[in-house]
Amino acid sequence: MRRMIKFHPSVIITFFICSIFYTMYTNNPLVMALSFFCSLLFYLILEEKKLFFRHLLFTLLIFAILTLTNPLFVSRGETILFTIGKKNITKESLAYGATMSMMLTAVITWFKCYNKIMTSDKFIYLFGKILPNVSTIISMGISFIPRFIEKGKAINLAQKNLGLYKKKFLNRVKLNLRVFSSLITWALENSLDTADSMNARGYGLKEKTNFSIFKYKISDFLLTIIMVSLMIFIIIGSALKYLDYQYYPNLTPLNFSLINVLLYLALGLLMMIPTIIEVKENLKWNFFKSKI
Amino acid sequence: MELFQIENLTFTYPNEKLPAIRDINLSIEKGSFTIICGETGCGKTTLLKMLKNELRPFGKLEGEILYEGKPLIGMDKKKSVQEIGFVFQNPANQIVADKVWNELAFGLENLGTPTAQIRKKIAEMASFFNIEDLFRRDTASLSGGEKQLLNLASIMVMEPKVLLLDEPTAQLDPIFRDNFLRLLHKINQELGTTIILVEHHLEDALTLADKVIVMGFGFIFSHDTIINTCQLIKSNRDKFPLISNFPTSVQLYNSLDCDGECPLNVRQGKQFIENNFSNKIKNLEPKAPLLSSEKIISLKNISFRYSKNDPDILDDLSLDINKGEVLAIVGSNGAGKSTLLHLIAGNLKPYRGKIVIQGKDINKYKNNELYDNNLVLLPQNPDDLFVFDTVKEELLEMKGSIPSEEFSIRLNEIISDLKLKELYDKHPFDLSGGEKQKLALAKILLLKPKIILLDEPTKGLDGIFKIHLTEIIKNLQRKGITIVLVTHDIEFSAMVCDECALLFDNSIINKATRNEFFLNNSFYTTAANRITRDRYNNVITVDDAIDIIRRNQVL
Repeated sequence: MRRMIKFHPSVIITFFICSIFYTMYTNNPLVMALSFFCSLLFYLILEEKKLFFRHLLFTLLIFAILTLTNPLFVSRGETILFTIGKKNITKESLAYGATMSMMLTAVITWFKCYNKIMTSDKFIYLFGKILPNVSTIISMGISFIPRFIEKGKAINLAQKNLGLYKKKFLNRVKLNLRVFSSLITWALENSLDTADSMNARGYGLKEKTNFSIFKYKISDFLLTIIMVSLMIFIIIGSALKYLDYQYYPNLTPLNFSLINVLLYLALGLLMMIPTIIEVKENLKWNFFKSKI
Repeated sequence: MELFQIENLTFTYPNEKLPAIRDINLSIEKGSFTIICGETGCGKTTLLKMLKNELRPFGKLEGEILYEGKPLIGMDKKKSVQEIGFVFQNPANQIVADKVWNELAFGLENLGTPTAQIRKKIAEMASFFNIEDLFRRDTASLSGGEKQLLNLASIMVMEPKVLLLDEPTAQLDPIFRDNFLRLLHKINQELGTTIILVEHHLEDALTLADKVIVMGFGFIFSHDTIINTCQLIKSNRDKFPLISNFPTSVQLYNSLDCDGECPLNVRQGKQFIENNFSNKIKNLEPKAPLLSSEKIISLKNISFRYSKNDPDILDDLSLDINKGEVLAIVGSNGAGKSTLLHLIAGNLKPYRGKIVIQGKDINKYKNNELYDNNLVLLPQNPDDLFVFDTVKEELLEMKGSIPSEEFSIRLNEIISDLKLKELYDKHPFDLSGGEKQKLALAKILLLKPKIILLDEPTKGLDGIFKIHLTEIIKNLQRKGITIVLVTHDIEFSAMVCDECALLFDNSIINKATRNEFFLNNSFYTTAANRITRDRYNNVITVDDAIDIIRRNQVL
């Protein structure tokens, strides 16, 4: 059961802008860890198990490689852990590497979640509010790409079955060029039909309206209010330098004053919103099931 | 009340000497269902496009077109977009948006309809067309038939007064074609929308229409009810090769010396023959099939699926194909017919079973050996074979490593066989469907194949070309080439094949000689057989039927 996908596109995009933006803005290791953890948790809910674990493996690999690479190239920082050859490996640069790799993987994971939830029609809808005609073109492009690829495969196969092309490199290049030029001709031919069909249905008349199947509900409004207030609190907090963190020359100790704790909680809550919503929905259904 | 009134209309394309359509006088009644038929290039599409301002081609136009009593040209754009709907032949090319709901809304958005109203109208149409379950799908994921349904629906949401359709079912499979035509009938009957349909598959469409327009060489030959049109065609028999596009019962009526009302379907055909002809001579001598016992292709217990988690497309299928025969494989949509051809052509590999071609396991063919003077596949869409700008280059490309003299002998023979000479300088994409099919055949014939695999060779083509293609295939067979074709088209397979196989439930369940196959089936057989089976034996094709009925002529 997916609940998040049913929210209005503007709510969804607000969430992703907040979380991705803040992940990229900050360098606070605790915030980064929160973002890293929350993004993976949300992705676990959205994706098939098998694909999730593949992604997790990839993430951990990137994490390990980047964390270890930074100290090899950067020797800033005062606490030397050990030396490899003449290179000093410092605690500070190791920590910085870990934080940055968390940022990278968290952003990647957030974007994967984005792709799962923000389908092309939602994106086009939001975009169409700003530039209606550009959104039509994007929509046409998206529907055309699969056809283009399929046709390319069909032409390639048909040519292969003629048996004209030997396994030589030059022959291959020649074949591919031909397939490509034929594909372009095909695309142009067909676009004439599409243009006709658009004209026949009045494309380019004035007073175009923009229809969508998305409805703005009270729940959308409430969720936006919650997210925006959390975000304002966080932005004020970071503007007042509560979340600032320094790696070099020494790691700043993490501050756990009341305001800091509240800020961390706010961030955690913000990034957990989709997960909380999904889990709540699941529990609700389990509850219904047990009643039946 | 007339919706369209056309007076002395003549239209000439730029740079052409002869007009594409000339002296057209026509009136179309409000609420009528009209079919326009005629041979390829007779100007029927041009005439249809004259009726839609946004699509009217450039050129010299004389005469007048009135819409509801006022000139059509110069009509308010919004009104013309909304009231005159147009559906094209190719299902995929007309689609603009990536989501079904978005496509349905496209026309109304352009007309500036408020979104609340759009929502209501779309909902109405989606349930009228029974496509609610497609509503949130990607348009790219729809099948051809579903796409054409969507195209019709996204015109109908604008509530047009008249629907113009340019061979909308040519690219569709028989079941979808049937479905589509029924829907048109429903739209005409229940919404009162005027329909003008250009069509050459008249078997299914003819009985739906009120009026039929027959065109030839840019003229309107007749515009009348179906019964009268059939009678008129009969009295001008020699001028109409077009008759092969009509239903079998009309073809019979046309060739028999007998008056009375023209039968339009199998039931009326049966009555017509019962009332007018005796059945003293019951048996038609069946033509003995020429079958060699030498196997050229043999499939043993083939199983195939596209990926691990998909269901089997073919399961434990075995099939032997004899040398020199024409084998037709028939079966319904998605039965795996094309997949089977691609397996034989080595494009797909079975996960179980063995394919032997000319006595050699298909896996033992290295590089291009399988395609070298051996086996070729003509894909469903002949366009896929074309990569050059002219027909000539297309053919010369096939030279490969063949010595020049031999190649030119081969080329000349094929060009004269297929009558391609006059097309030499045309662009392959500008050819008609039938001409494309011929060019594709010519290309593969230059490879001197021993086996030809044809994937739906009659898709989108009219009856005249089918007869022509039958001759071509018979001619190839005489040269010793084995031909395997898959098709939906029962009538065509009955004309062309020696053996016929039925693909059902992932396997070949019935393979028999042509006679056994068509004479023993009651549904999977030709209309000629269904019309005559109660009275005569061994009738398969229209010619068979005409032959036996003529012998029973009561004098």
